[in-house]
Amino acid sequence: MTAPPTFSDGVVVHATDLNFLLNPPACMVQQNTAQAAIPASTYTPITFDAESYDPYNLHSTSTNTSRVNIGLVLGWWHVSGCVSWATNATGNTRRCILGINGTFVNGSQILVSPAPQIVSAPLPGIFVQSTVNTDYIELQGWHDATASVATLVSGTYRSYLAARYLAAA
Amino acid sequence: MTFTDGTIVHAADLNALLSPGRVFTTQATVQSGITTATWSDIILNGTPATDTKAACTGAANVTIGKVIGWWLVSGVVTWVGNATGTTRRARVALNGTPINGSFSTTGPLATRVSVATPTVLVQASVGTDAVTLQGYHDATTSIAPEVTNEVRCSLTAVYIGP
Repeated sequence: MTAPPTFSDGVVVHATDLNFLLNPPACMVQQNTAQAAIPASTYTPITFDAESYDPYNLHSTSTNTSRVNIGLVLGWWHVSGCVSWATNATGNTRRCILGINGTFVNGSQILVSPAPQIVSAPLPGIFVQSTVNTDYIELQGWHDATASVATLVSGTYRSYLAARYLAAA
Repeated sequence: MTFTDGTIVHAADLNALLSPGRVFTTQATVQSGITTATWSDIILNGTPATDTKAACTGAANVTIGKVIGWWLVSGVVTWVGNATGTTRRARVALNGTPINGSFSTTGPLATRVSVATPTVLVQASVGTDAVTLQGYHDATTSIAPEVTNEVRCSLTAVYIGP
């Protein structure tokens, strides 16, 4: 676990503390390979097999690849994401929602239409708090198509999850 | 705060950089009867998940003027199911004036549907400056936003600098 700096009058400020301010823990992970056969009517964690930015190793591409471990630094994190769905016009809705340790965050669920084209459910930035070092976030997808639906990876169309540490309290 | 060459930097200023102003709040009780074809403020009466500057009012206004400067703001309006009309919309407003670029729209659905605004920069110039999340629909009757479990309207704001 990494502890954020605190500053006190009369105490030397170290370069590492100022560099933390300039470059707080953050990561952005994405899908480079589509996640096949997400079953209908089942909240399913979205897995991420690529990291666009992850200098603090908040994410693994080999173990629990759906998770971003925000417990690395305790405090508040600014989180956003998107689930990109493959074409399938059946059913009524496509969803994305953020969970912390599997528990959904109020106000984080996005519901969109299963348009006849590809469709994305974007979650704009929200705040979540990590309180223990095992805390993790996941983006989960849900749909009610008549069959399993895959996520979409095509050009810039792909699911992602981003998190940036903001404050201790 | 600002920093000046030759002037002592106080710990409080650096610690403030570690904990910028921020808000994440939601709607907790259903706001019924939003009139058709009228931009309406979304009431945010939930207990904020975080509200470091006491910006939330329990009504629609979030007073970002508690810290003068620029804030990143975004929001989500989730509407109850109603397939009539052609559009469901959301945007961010400052003191009632919509912020350019914050507009987002989608089609209506017989089931619930969300409209997420882009994240926009909003400047608070005076202490009373307040942002609101606004919704719009053109259903044939008044409709409400959805409040069920984790499905609810929300607004996020974070201070980024003077």
